[in-house]
Amino acid sequence: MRSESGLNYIVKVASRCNLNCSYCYVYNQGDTSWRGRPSLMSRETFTAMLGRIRRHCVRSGQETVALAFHGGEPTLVGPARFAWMCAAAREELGDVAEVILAIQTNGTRLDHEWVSVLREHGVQIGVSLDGPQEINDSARVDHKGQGSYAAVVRGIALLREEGMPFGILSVVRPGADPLLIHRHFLELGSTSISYLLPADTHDTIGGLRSEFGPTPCADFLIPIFDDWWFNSSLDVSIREFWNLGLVIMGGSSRLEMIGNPPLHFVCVETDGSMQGLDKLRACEDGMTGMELNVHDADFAEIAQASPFHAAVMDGLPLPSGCQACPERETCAGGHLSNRYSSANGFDNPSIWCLDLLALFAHVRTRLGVTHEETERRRSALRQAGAPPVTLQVS
Amino acid sequence: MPSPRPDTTIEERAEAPRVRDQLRARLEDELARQPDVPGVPMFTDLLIAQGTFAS
Repeated sequence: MRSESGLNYIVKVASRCNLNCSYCYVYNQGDTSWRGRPSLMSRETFTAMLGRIRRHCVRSGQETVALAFHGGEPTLVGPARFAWMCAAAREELGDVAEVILAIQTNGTRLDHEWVSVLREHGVQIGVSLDGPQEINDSARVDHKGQGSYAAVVRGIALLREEGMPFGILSVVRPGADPLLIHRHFLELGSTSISYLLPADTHDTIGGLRSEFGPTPCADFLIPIFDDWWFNSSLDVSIREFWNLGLVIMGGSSRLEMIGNPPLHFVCVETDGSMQGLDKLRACEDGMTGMELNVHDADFAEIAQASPFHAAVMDGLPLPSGCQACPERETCAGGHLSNRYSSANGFDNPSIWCLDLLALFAHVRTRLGVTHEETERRRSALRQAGAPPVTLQVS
Repeated sequence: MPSPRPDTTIEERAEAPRVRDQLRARLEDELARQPDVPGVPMFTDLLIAQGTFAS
């Protein structure tokens, strides 16, 4: 990362969650840093953050800036403070960049007031859900162990009533019926779906592998790909498949999951501290920390003050074990958190290596694109030398 | 070729070339609209907000 690189921001307006999902990388894996933070981001910290974002937009010259409200559960701030945050962001930043606002919520607290606020402030919406009730509620539970499904679908129903588009963010459930899950998401009315690979590391993957075999994620995703291919409309966006297609066709990934792309976004915690790639919390306690805070530092200082995170944002080197792989430029080692082991750091192929190879092979065959054609297309695209874009905006 | 799903019908399999051409065309269109330049900033997998970040 260079000090003038354009950035986008994950704003952790709540450091607590009303759910306690068993696999959560924030609360139930390697990291405990949330315990020492304020539950909610104060107006003072939010204002300080906006000032730093403004300064960075001016420095970088970026034409768009995205703020994604995240957590914990971001709706814990309440609709009134959230509405103030949205208005403040547009007022502070609107004259230096196009402001894009988004929220990733578990959906359980959405009511008419929330939906009204999200509509009024033009906030793009993502809801986290893992499938039908029996599957979702086996992991996505509250602090009393009660499932969250009923509350989530109530929230989704309100969004549908109001004609508000939403995406569904889910985590691959090894061993579950993938088509049951996928078709349920379609029934709920989402036309934008993401299937994240579980945030395990080489230190934690053993049990899952022994229970579900060598390629649990591919076993889950390939039937969904074929359902999408044969039975659905391609108008349903499945982010992982789309990006697999992009890299196979010679382009670059826009996902962390594949391609080791530059990650030009920063997390800001409720206390104003700047944090690196969020999923690295699954690796080691405190790994995302940068020792910088919006109350006394600019985002441009990341490049000098935090070489590790600056390097992560540029994309770490390919693992040595991936050097001879035919998918070394398309997969590029998978997601960083899935490369981690306490013994070798990030110099490992992904724990999902066999899954990713199976997925690439399947999508290549369906698309009819060989490795050689990918190489030819990549060279042609890069020789075209078109100017860079700063953010996808559709 | 990978085997189609067990419940994929003969008619559906016959659709495969059409779907392949359609998807390839869409991918090529996106790569033409969003030129591929290494170093393009991107956003996080941890968000899916339809209409903005989702492809």
